[in-house]
Amino acid sequence: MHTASRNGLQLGTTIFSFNNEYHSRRYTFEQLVAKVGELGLGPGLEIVGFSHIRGFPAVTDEFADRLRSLLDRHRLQPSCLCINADAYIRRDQRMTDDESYAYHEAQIRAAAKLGFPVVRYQFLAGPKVICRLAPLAEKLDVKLGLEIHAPERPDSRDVLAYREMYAKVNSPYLGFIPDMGASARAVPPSLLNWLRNGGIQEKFIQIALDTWSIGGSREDRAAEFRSREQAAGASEMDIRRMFMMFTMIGRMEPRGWLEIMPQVIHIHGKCYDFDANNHEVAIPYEELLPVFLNGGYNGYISTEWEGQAFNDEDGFATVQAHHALCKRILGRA
Amino acid sequence: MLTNAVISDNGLHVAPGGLEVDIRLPWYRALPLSTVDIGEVRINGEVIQPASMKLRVNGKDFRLDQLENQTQEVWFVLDSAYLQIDYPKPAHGTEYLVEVTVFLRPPYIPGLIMPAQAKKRLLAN
Repeated sequence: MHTASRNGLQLGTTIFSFNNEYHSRRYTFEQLVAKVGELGLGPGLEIVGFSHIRGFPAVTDEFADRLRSLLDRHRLQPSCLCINADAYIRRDQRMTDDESYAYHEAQIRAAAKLGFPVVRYQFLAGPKVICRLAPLAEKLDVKLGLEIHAPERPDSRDVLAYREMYAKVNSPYLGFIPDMGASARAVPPSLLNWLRNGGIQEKFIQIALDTWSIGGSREDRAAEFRSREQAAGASEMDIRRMFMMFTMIGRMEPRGWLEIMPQVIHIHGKCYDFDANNHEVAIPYEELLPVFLNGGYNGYISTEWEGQAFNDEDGFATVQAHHALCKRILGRA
Repeated sequence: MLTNAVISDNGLHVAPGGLEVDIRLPWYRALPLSTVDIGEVRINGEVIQPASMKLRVNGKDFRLDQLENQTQEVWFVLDSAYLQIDYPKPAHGTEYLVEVTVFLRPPYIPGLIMPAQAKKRLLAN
């Protein structure tokens, strides 16, 4: 088992944090992995199949060899490979379950070939297809983790459908990957700045922030948001853009993750902005990490800087800030 | 913020019979062409008809109305594609105002149609 050598909560980074550097061709994939090693942002390394591997899910022997020696050289461990449930490649016809099975199988085989112990999979796979994939996961020794990203949470309807299936199958190869953006305390400043820079009036942003903060189900809050914005005269386009606050940032209590704790196999350490005291402004890591530590979590947390979606900056300094924060909380500073 | 990245810097070239614009996929991962639409394209403010354009991806040329059926042709995230525009008397060394809108339909997010728009003054070379 890959997990035998792990001990408690380990830090790591996903190369997704460096989308700006990568897409602009300022850094190659290899240079980004090297940088993660040089800056001490491991030991876990997470990559995205369709971003970082040309021809994915096909993986050449040459790429596999190259990645292995790159990880060895920089003393990094493969933590998680992000795979996708691309059900709508045909615009007018969803993939059948058989097609989706084959689509996922190829990606899980790629993870095995590259030595990743975990894949991150997506909701659109569906419980039926994932249930069918469990024996393959076991055979290949690759765990399948459903990412629980805002607006989902452990007790939302779609997650419950997976939990029900997991309970029946009862395989250690089926698990969850909580994304910390689902348990935020505030809307990140970088998202708000992006909306402001896009010309949305402050009064509409304040309405959105007020409705983000009220209690109730996500459907109720979304409906309340829409009706208050419409009443105030916000345009449909502005409403759609501001709605990202509700789809990207959830406000579940950190202890909400305890419900699925034994099935957590990887964590996405989502982060956006850090204040002068090096606290994440929106996501309460001081509360979140102890929940996982005390819950007995054993695995990686991959730092995932999402702020790159809202500006053109490099991600290194922010990822370093997140690692420093986690180390401080874990008492390893 | 990849949605700004649609038109490459220095991305305008004179080609036989017209202009060629170097464009990038405004998304973090590779996507099949069937999930990509080229929206409105303008040169110096003038709308270019879709039938006057082709998109070259992976060295292959596609009419814009052919894209939605290209389920197997993948636009890799690091690669440029080239929008080939029929345009009379294109001139080297001349500045053009280029506007391109791309719509993406990420196949793992049902219903999302993500617009990305860019506008750049570029010297044709």
